[in-house]
Amino acid sequence: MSTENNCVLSVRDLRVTFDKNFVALGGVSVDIGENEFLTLLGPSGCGKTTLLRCIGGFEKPTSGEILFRGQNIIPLPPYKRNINTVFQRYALFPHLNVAQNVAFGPDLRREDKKATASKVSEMLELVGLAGFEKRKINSLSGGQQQRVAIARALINKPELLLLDEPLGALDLKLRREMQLELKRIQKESGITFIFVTHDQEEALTMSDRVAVMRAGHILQLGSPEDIYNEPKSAFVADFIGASNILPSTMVRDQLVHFLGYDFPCVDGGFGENVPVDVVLRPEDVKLKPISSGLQGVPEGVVESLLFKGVHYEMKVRSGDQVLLVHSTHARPVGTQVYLTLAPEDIQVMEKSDFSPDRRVKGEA
Amino acid sequence: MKKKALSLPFVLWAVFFIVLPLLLIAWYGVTVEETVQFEQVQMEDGSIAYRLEDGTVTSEEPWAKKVVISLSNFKRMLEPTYLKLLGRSLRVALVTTLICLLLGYPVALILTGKDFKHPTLWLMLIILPMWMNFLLRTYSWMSILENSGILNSWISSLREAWPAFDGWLTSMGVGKKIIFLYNENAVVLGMVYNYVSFMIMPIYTVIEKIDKSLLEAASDLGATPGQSFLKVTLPYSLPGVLEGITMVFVPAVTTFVISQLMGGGKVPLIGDIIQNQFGKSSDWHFGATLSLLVMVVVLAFMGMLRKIDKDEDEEREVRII
Repeated sequence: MSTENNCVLSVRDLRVTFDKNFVALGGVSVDIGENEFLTLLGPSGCGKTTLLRCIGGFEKPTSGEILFRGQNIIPLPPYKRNINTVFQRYALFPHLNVAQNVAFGPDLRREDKKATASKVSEMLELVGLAGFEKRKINSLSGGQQQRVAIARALINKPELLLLDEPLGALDLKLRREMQLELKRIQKESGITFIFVTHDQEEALTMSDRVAVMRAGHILQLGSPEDIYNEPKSAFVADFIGASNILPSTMVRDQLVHFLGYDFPCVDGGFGENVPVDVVLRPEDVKLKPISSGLQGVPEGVVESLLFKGVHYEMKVRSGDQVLLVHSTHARPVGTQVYLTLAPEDIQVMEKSDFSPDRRVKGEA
Repeated sequence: MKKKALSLPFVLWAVFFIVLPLLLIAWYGVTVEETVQFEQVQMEDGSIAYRLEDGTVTSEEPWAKKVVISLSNFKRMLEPTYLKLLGRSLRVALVTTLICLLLGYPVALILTGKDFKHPTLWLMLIILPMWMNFLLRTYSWMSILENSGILNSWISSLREAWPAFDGWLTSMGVGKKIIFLYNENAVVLGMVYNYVSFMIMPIYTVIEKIDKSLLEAASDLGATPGQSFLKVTLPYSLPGVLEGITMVFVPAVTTFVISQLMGGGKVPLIGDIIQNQFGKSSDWHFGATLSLLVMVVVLAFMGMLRKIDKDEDEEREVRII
């Protein structure tokens, strides 16, 4: 994705250890390109915020390098980095009004007051808060405060903007709006964004690339489509969305065995008769009526049926496995069905400690 | 109804121990005792009677003194002697407050520092001396500073051991014994020592509560540590500073013990004179009048501080880029 010449930031083997034994980051490497929207996605405690704070300069890494346009910035304090941050709870200055908050950076650099005032209006317009200059911070809603925080960061024309779960405090509707808004601002300003979130939908909606993190490591880095369609591990598959992960055996290339049957698939290179996991997206599992009389496919019984608006969500038992199935077609509880799968919808993965048959009971 | 009943003990407390004493002070302040002149006369029937100044005659022996409402004490209060004392009290209290602020703010700032370890332990150490009796603490300073005290004995042994030092001190006109005590500086020292923790505590509390992410945000937006201090820490700590000033200034302007001990009676403050009126001079009326004066000064000072606080707030709001 990013070659040496258009790489804004390069994180190399970054390690952070707290209190001598807690490893927050265990050797993370990632390159971020010009005008890219990269999302760090993971559950709380996975190290995504620590990575962001290292880039911002608020945390000192134990080892590793952070190259910003080729220069190692680890020794630099935050105020000497041309990087700005939108903090989790915005960290707006309550004793200053909206315009004063936005003008905080230019005022520190003693820039011309008039020029700053017009830049402030410009920024407020960009974030959709035109005319809010004199308003007090306490009189703003969460979404408005968040926009002020973005304007306050963007006015400094950073080459890199860090966003630490900035949408976490907003309600669902506002969050959706702000996701689109952020994407628009990023495109219009041409600034590279690194966005931290634990919300996989948010990550898939906004990002050019997503880095899925767990326990201080990046498990998978790729476009939202790659991450969603071809998760490399059971953890990624599980975290990125509701999935069926089944213990399976790779019979040979392009043939995998689960639910008691052999299925043709598109993956290979695992060897023969190797235990693997397969990921089946709920919308990819097709149910066929028993009357169709198919051969060589597993049978199942519908155990539950829920109406979810766009689709129905069903749980279908086949043998000792229960599969989650999304379909626009409802099947009453107790219906006997066949389960069919297209070869390209079967995603084969290596076994990991997150695999269903190795998972500690209760973790899921 | 229930709530009112619950507040009754406090109301009673306030009435008996705050409102009534204040009213008494006010009453004593606006009255004076007059000696009643009268003479004993023998009536025609042989009985003894008393003729008062205005000529009325009564058979009962009148009180030798009577209380009359008079503002004469207010006039007396405005005499230069007392105004000078008040002036000195204000000066000593202001100097004390300023020194406490200059010492206390940096201490509070260091204690709240990100990399400072065990701030509560250090805070304990600062407060610990305050658990000892106030008189005891002041007496220990006296034993350090008095003419035959610890400091002087150290200096003289230094002089003996190091003739050049002795020669230098002599050439500077310093006598064999250095007089530390019994002047205004000694009084200020005693006050600063006793009151500085009242400055540190409120400032520490306020700075400690400042959201650390605000400092991070300032740094992120390009503020050097100095700029972060001026733009974030200082404005947010102002309420603590004002509270600290009140906590130091009010006791400093009214104290009499420190000035008596450290000043040895040579630096009387308004508090000493008031105490005197209730003690040796036993003129409670004038003492009460002076108390009222001090009360007015303190109230005026606190009103001023509040105004500063308010103006700051308003300025924060209307300041335009």
